[in-house]
Amino acid sequence: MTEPLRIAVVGHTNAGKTSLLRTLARRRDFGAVSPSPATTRRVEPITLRVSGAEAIVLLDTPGLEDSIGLLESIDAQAPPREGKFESIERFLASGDATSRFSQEAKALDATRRADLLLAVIDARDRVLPRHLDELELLARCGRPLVPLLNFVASDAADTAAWREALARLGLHAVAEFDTVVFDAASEAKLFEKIRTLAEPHRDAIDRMLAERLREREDRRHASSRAIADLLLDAAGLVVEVDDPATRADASVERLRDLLRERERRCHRELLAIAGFDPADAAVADAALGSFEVGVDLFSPEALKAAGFSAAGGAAAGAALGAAIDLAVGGLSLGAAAGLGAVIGGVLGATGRQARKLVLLAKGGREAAAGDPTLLLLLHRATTLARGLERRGHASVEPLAIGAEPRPPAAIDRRGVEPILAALHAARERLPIRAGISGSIEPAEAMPSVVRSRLREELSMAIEGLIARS
Amino acid sequence: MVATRRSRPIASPQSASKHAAESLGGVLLRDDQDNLEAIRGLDAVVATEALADVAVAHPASFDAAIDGSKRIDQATWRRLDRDRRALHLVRRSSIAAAIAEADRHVRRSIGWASTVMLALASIAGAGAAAAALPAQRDTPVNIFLLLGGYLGIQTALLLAWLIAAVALRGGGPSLGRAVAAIAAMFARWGGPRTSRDAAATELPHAMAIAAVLRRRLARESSGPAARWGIGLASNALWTAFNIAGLATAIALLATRQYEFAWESTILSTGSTLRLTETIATMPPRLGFPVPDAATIAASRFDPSSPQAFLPQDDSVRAAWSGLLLGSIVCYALAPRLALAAFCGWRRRTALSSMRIDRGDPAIAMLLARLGEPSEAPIEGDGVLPAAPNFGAEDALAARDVGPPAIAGLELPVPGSGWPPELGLAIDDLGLLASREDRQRARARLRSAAHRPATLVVVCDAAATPDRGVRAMLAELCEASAAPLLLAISRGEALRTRESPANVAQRLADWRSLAEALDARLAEIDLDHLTTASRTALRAAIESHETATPAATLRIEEAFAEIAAAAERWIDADRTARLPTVEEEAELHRRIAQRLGGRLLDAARFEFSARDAIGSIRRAASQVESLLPASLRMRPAWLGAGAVAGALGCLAAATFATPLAISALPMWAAFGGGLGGLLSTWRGPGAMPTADAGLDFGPAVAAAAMQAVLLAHQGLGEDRIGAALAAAFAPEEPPRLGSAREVRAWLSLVSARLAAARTTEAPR
Repeated sequence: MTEPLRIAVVGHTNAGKTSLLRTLARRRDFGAVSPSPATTRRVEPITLRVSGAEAIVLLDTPGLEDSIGLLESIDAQAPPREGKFESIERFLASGDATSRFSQEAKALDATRRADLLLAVIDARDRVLPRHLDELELLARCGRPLVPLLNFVASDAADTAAWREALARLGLHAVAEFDTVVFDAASEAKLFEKIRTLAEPHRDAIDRMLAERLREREDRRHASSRAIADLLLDAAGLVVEVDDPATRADASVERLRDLLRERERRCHRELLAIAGFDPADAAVADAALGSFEVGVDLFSPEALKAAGFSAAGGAAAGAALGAAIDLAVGGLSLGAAAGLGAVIGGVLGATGRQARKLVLLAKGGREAAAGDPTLLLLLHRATTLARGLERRGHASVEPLAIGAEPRPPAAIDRRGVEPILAALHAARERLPIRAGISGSIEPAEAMPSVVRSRLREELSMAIEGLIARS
Repeated sequence: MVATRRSRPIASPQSASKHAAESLGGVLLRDDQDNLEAIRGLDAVVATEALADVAVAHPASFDAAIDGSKRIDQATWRRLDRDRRALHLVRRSSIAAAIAEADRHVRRSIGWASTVMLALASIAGAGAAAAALPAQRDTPVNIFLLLGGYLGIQTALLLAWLIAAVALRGGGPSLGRAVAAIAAMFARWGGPRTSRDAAATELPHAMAIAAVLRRRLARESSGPAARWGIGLASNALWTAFNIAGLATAIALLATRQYEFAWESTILSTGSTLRLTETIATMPPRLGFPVPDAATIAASRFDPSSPQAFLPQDDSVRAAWSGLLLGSIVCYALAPRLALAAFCGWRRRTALSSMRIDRGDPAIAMLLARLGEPSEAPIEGDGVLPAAPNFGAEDALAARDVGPPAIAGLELPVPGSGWPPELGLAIDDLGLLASREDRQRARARLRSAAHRPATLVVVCDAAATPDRGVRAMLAELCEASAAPLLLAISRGEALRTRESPANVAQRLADWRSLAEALDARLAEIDLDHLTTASRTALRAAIESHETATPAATLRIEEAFAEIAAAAERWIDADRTARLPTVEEEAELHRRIAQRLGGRLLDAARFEFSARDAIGSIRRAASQVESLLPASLRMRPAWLGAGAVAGALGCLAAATFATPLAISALPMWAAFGGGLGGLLSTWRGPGAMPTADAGLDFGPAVAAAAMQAVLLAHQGLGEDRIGAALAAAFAPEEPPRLGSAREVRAWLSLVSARLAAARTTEAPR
């Protein structure tokens, strides 16, 4: 196995070195991040793996705080005609490296273990002589140097000024990144820049880029499926109203609570899928207003669902009959197949319609989430999923999702219609009884072909919604 | 699909756990040391998926398992990557036995379903052969009808299966799917108890079983492994059908004597000859005898003259029997056997390459939860270097005092120009940034005939007050031998780019830097210099008094603390609720800590543990008496003052007795009495009403009053009263229902305080 590529992440204090590592490694828990200086005080490695094998080791280093003073001190003691690389070596061996400039010494020492240096620069800062002195120090370390402009998504970032200043120092291969507002494309560009300077590790970087792309797709896929599960549960959730005169409000209230709880679960799942904590999102309670109360035996969806399930049952029955036919030598002219179809049809048509009949006979009604409610749940969940895709692991401020009484009209109906159609089908065919314990029972102990097909359909459509930004 | 080949002896309950460790541990964790290969294979995948389901449905027991696992084997745990952690966890967790049990149950169900269906297929095959070779023999057996009846339907179904396998990728109805459905039925019927009763008593266990059942059956009903498994089952059933058919045919042919003939209305003898020869191409290669042309021609049966059909001799019967048996082997048995073998091979491949589905929400959550291996820091003691000590040289300090000097450190040219027009004689050292600038300023300060009365250095508030800034400031102090006034400008730039918490932290960092350098701190906005701020800075330079009392900055920090607390109350659990007494007390304690809690006025906040409620009451009434008359008239402000006094007293108590700091529950002990007091002070208006929503006004007002009180402590009752009167309006506190409203009101209060200060400053 080849040695991993070692990259020292260096730069001014508070430029976001640890944040960069958090974001690149998708690890919220790495190191400490604060607005105060000298948060990172030692060299800490973090390993990026490609299918289990170490590909890149990133070294987090303490910030360079007093570069002007350090350079002044190095140059003041320099013997004549000293090489630049030698001046750093001399400094690291000197007493200053353990006293006044011990933090800088740790960072510069780490560069000796690295194949490449990433110089993190806060693009919101003005270009100051001290920053240029830092780059001068790093250039003396004798390693390929990639300046990385951090926080470029901020309004305060002055990328052009920085690029110009860096160009004057002969640094043209500048990477742009934002550790808080994550952008997969600029991450890929960053790794491509690194690749040009680390030829022996080209394959490993390529594999890592491919794996990250796949991971991103996996995550989006998982998020879509989690949202699809939420919507299937929400659409199928039916609370029976025994006594419509007095209990309707209470039933709707209970339905609302169940939906909220289910939505919170989905949001937790989305956060976990993206590798974040519950604290990463501040989600207001949804203003769930629209509920349908009543029993509709003859809604088109109900009839279609009943007809469909009868046909499905009939097909299964016929298949069984065909097997019986075979058993008697294939000569019974399909009589058994016909009988099988009849039995299958009868069995398939029971269930939901039958329960409705019983409920209607008792004079009861049922309450379920209306379309606007389902759309609101969809909208909030996709907003969260989309926000998390663009959230760097260094972000500290929670992602806020408002209550939003109704989804904005901006939702393209064309994208939503198939989702609603699938949910209408789910309501008739995958009803969920609210559990006694007050929570939604885990959908089903056994996989249902109908549910898994609807789930796949839905998650495809939802993936489209998330991708559309 | 046909799992009987892998069936294991049924374990007794006692050995179930051991068995689980063996089977799962053996399968999943052949080597948990260095093999970082991803989870593969049906067993590993299903076990991991089941674990993920349990983790979603029952986080508490899962977390306990993780903690336990970490405790057991810390070193291994740290080293493992996430996938291996999952396996490690499965092996060590208490649900391993449940997973193994459910796993065995599913295998048994599949085995039973396969057995039943194989038996049915064999019976059907034997029946089909027996029906084709009837016992009643009035006429010779029609060989083509026999072959067509037995092989024709089968061949059609084989073609249908092939089309489905290719075109529908294994979808569509098939016998194999029926086996899967029956296996699922068995698994559901005879499954380990997963009912709600069981769930109530043994939740994780029952959940693990249900999860394994669900995941395993899902894996057996879709995906490549399922596709080939279903194909294997279909073809295996047809193989059994044909083996039974072949055996029955051999038995019947061995024990009965059949005459074979053919007849046709439209086919000529020549056509029949060609057809028979076509059929007879394959069987002779396996050693089956087949009829030759003469035999075929002689075997034509003419119903009009049955007597013309001569009894056949043994070789003719053997040839026709050979054709029949050879056709069954070549055209029915062999293809099915080959397809079964092919499907079996593909299934094996699919099984061994089966991976966990990272697109599954539960799996994604599990992996996210397991975390990554942690790495040890490479080097460094984490100790910051001690600040360099720049002692002023006596010679420099001995100079006469001249006018003050001003310098800007790493500051852009301010909007109001440089140097700021302050209306007093001031020595301008310029805006310093580079090494050369710094050397020049230092040299100038050192060589000057006078030392400046005050050295004013204006810094960029948005910059980080790091050791570089500190070293620069220290150098300038040393060179000038003058007291330092550290002014921070560009607060606006800082506030637009950072969050309120970060702004407060940055200001605190600047203040500690000033304290470390023994300097005074002033905040000034040079970009928008006003008469008031100019006057304040001039006063600070001339009078050696802090232009902006450090307390102001601290008040801002305290207000940030309050806003943060309000956000917690409002957003906690995503539902707003009023803070508990303990939470309020904690907030007041933090405010006191920020504003120098140890300096709390001992006389005012005397706390006696023996008479806790009494001392709290006394503190409350003392603060009430401090209130200016305008506020004292208002019950809401009287209440806020009382609460601030009570909680300040309590905070002082925790600072006075360090033990109490750790014993925060102490407050909980007071909670009952204190809560009662608080609600009497606040009156019934503080209670939330259903229609109006929650009001955080009283809690926020009390905390803000605490901050103002503490920031002005030691200044005398007049000054405190004036500050309170300036900060709060009698008609307040307003109704505060959201974090935004809280922040808005707090910034209004700080603006009022700032305005009060600028009018006060020239005095």
